[in-house]
Amino acid sequence: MDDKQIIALLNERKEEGLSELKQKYNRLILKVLRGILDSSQDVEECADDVLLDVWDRIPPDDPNDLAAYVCKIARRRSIDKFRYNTAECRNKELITELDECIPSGISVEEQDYGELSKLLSKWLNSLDKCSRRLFTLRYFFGDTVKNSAKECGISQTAASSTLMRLRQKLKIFLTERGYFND
Amino acid sequence: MINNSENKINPIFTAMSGIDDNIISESVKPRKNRVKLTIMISAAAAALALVTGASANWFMKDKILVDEKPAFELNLKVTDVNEISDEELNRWGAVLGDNGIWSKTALPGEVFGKFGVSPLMTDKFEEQQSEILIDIDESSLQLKTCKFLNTSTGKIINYSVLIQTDEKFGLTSGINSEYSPEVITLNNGEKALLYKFYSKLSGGDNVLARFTNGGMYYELKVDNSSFDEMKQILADLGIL
Repeated sequence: MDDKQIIALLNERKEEGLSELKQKYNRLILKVLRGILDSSQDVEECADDVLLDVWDRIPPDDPNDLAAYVCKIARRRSIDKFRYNTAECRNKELITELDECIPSGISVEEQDYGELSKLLSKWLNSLDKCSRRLFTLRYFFGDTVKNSAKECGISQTAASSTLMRLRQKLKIFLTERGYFND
Repeated sequence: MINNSENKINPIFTAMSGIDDNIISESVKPRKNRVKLTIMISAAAAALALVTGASANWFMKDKILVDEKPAFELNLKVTDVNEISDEELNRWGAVLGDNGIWSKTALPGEVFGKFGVSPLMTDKFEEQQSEILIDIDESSLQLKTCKFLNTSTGKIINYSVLIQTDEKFGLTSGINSEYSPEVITLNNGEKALLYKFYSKLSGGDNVLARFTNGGMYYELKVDNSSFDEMKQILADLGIL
C-alpha cells in the first residue's frame, strides 16, 4: 500500500491504516530505535509508542514524506526514553564523537533546537551526497561506522576519517554562526 | 531549558531529529546494487572463518543479562546459509520495498528453505502470509519476524531467527526485573529467558522468549499472553 493510501486510512480513523503502517514501516522504526537504544525492551516499548504517536498525530498532520515523518517520531521517542527513563544509549561512542564537536554539557533552550536543526539541514544540504548520507546514517540513525561505511560503499577507514573531517567542518560552521563558542 | 549535562545528550545529536525530510529519505533508500539476500551474513564472516580456520562447529558465545548479571550463555554456531541471487529473487516473485524484501505469496517455511535452513517448527503451528520476510540491511540486529499460528493456544507467534555467521551482534543487552524475567531450562539443557512488558498497543502483556537452539538464536513474541502460554508454545515446538 502506498503512503497516500495509508495516510487516507489514518485520516478516516481506520485501524487498517495503523496495521498497514506497521507492516510497511515497523522495520524502519526498529532501525531508528535500535540505533539509539541499547535495550530490546526499550525498543519494543518505543516501537508501540511510535505507532500510537502517528495514529494520534494524523490527522491533523499531513506529512509529505511518511518515511521521514515516522523516522523523526521514532528518533524523538528514543531520545525521550534515553533522557527521562535512564535508558542506555546503544552507541555511547557516537555521543563522544559529537562531543568533540560540541560538548554535551552545554544547555540549549528548547526553542533553539528548531534553529539548530535548520542550520544542520543547511549544512548537510551543502555536502556531497555521500558525505551527507554518511553523516545522517551515523548521527541520525545511530548506525555503526562499519555499517554506515557499507551503506555508502566505502571502507570503514575512509568512513572514519570522513566523519572526523565532517565533525571539524560542522564545528567551524556552527561556531561561525555564533553557536557554542569555546 | 534542557539540561544536557544531566543525561549527556549532545545538542547536535538531539537537533538531528529535526533535519529536513529529504535528507532522511535519501539515507533510508537502499543502494540496490549491493543488496545481499542473506540472513545475517557478511563477507567478513567468510574472511574471519578463513583466517581463524573456523569450522561449522565453531561456537560463539554471548550472554543474556538479567539485572546486569549474566544469567546464561547463548550458543551461536557458524551456519552455512545459501545466498540468493537477484535473479532468483525475481523468479520467486518477491518484492523489494523500502524496508525489506517481502512477498505476498511465499510462506516463512518456503523462505527458510530458500536459505537452506530449518528453524524449529512442528505441526502445531500454521504459517501466516504477507510479512516482510527479509531485511535489506543485513548487517545490524534487525531480526526478521514472520508469523505462525499456534493451534494449541490460538495465538499468533511473532517468530524471529538469527543465524549468525559473523562477529557478535550485541546480544548481551540485558533486561531488568521491571520485566519480571524468568529463566527456564529447555530439554537440551540450554536456557531460555522469558519476560514481559505491558503494551499500550495490544492493551495487555506482550511476552517474549529468547534462547538459542541448534546454533540458532530465537526470539518469540506473543501479544496479550502469559508465561504459561509461552511455555505451552515452547513445548509445542518440542523444546520444553
